[in-house]
Amino acid sequence: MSTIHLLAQGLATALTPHNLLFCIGGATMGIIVGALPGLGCVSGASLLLPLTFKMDPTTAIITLASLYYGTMFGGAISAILINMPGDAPAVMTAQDGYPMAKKGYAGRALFTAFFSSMVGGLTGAVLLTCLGGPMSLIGLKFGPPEIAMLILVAMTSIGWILGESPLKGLVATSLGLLFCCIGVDKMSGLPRLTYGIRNFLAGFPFIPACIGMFGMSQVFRTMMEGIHRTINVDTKSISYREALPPAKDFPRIIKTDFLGAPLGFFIGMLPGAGATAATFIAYITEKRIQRKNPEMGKGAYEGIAICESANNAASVGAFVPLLSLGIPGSGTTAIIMGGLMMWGLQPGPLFMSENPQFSWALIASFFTGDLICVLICLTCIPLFARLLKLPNTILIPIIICLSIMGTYCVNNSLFDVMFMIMMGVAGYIFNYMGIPQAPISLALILGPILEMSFRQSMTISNGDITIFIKRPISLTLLIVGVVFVLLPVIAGFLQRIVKPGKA
Amino acid sequence: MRRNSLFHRFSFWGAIAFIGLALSAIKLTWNVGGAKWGGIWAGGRIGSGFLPLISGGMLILCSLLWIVKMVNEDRKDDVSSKEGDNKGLPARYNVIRYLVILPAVLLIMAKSVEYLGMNFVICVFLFIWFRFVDHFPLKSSVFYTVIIMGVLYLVFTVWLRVPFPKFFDLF
Repeated sequence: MSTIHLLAQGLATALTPHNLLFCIGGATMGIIVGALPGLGCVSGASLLLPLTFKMDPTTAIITLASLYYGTMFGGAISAILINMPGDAPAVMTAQDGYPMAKKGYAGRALFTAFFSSMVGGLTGAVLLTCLGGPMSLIGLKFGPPEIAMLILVAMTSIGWILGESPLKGLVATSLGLLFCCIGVDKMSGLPRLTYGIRNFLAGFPFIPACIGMFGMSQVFRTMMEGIHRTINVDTKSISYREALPPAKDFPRIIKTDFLGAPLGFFIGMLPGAGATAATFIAYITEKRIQRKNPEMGKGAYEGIAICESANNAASVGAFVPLLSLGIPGSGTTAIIMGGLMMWGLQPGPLFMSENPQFSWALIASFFTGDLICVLICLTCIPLFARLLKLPNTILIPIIICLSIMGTYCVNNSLFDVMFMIMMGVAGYIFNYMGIPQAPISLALILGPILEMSFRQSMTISNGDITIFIKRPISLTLLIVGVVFVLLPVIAGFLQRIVKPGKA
Repeated sequence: MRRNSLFHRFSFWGAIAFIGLALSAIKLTWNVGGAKWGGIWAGGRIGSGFLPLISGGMLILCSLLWIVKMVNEDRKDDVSSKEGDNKGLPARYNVIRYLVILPAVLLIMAKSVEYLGMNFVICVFLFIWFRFVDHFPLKSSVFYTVIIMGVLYLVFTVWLRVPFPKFFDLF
């Protein structure tokens, strides 16, 4: 049977009123859970999984999958409105989303995020439908050396998000790399930089740190500047009409979406990378492309669009290894895989051919679910944007309570809450000293993947560093990385030769 | 941007703090694996201390360069620039109030959750904030506390069933 026929059958299953209702329920829950700080898609899926035990497996997987991409939509809401990322992939959305909201264009920022999420999700679903099988085989060719080089290429681009002072940006990057060493080393089992604190054994608490650095630090800033008795921002874009970006800006958004979606989808497929790494890599790629755009990092459409399209496409991409090979591509798909086994299904290479109705109903639900999510979110834009109309006197205690309760939810730990508060103070000081926080979070996400894959590569090759040039994919990525590093130097040199007088 | 001495002191001690962090990491690198370089490279394998050493070293280097840059900027700056003329420089009173006392109160509050329960502590916090920080009238303080606490309770405790510490096992 052709792919189109299978997809049509899947759509017929996904569009039954019963499945559609559960898809709407899952998406709504996902959006709410995603918007709450600390509760990411993994927590959401874990919370929902026990409830699906008695459901029909097809309905259950549709509900879980809709919750998964619902969280991807929801994460952007709190990131844009209160600079508090709902989940890890939304950290980069806050870089441009919050400044845009502060300028009074919260509606436009939200619209861009939701629209890009939809484009990312739909593109991911199309790629999964057409190229899922072959792409999973390409993904399998990505061993530790290739992943190490891919991350290295991403890290060479870190310079583009260093901000006005590259030196402080480098301090931030090194600090992020240092922080990511905290915890038990996964290869040797030795504790590193824990200083006897038991809670650090599990590693640097990333989500509490982000809630502290981005959300709590805002509280301290507002209080310090004495603006806690004022309206947060003058939100102009509160109606549907005003939430729409100007027509001239649409091509910018769409162009960025169609870069972010395939990139995110591909990185999402790689085991261990996930939507967070996909978003970070996509953002720095866009930052490199938009290096001459002064708005980037200060409220550019491109900054929001790239993150949202990449993280939604990555969430779909994570299903490719799960459906075609039985390997989960992310934490959430690992939970979903647990669900599959709970419902009596065995994921593996024959999964799709043995359960066509089930797998194609799931793929079809990506299309329906994305449209449902975007409809829910777009309908609620004025409601979300109205949040900014709340005076700071009410908003600040709400942010504090949400930060505390949300942080507790991550690991059910009060240590995380205290850590988050301290990171809030650190975040304020970083802001004051002009140290950019984006490189810290970037290094925290990419650092462990780089270290692990680099060390695995060296173990595989028995310490032979030439492993990176012996493998064609890693060699290509290495050349790309070297070109990225040398390009500004060569460009500067050529400029001096061409215009010696102006040098 | 012209710097003033308070800003510089702040940044200077910040850079020193980063160097301290980096040195700790490098010291730990030596400790990891039990032997000096054993933690970094052993038997053709990269050890646990490799990344701490690299990142710690980078941090030291960048922090030192930062200090050098600040010293150079100090020389170039107008010596007569007065303390406090930098735009956005926080007042000392605000620093103590909001960057020392407020976080300390929040930390105590977080610690007390263990004994008094999350919902109770949040409820008390909200009321105190509205009544004594925002100076709302009593009725408004109670109203906002009840509304916000109600929503938070419904979302986190009833719907998501987050196992928050409870106030004497009650709520």
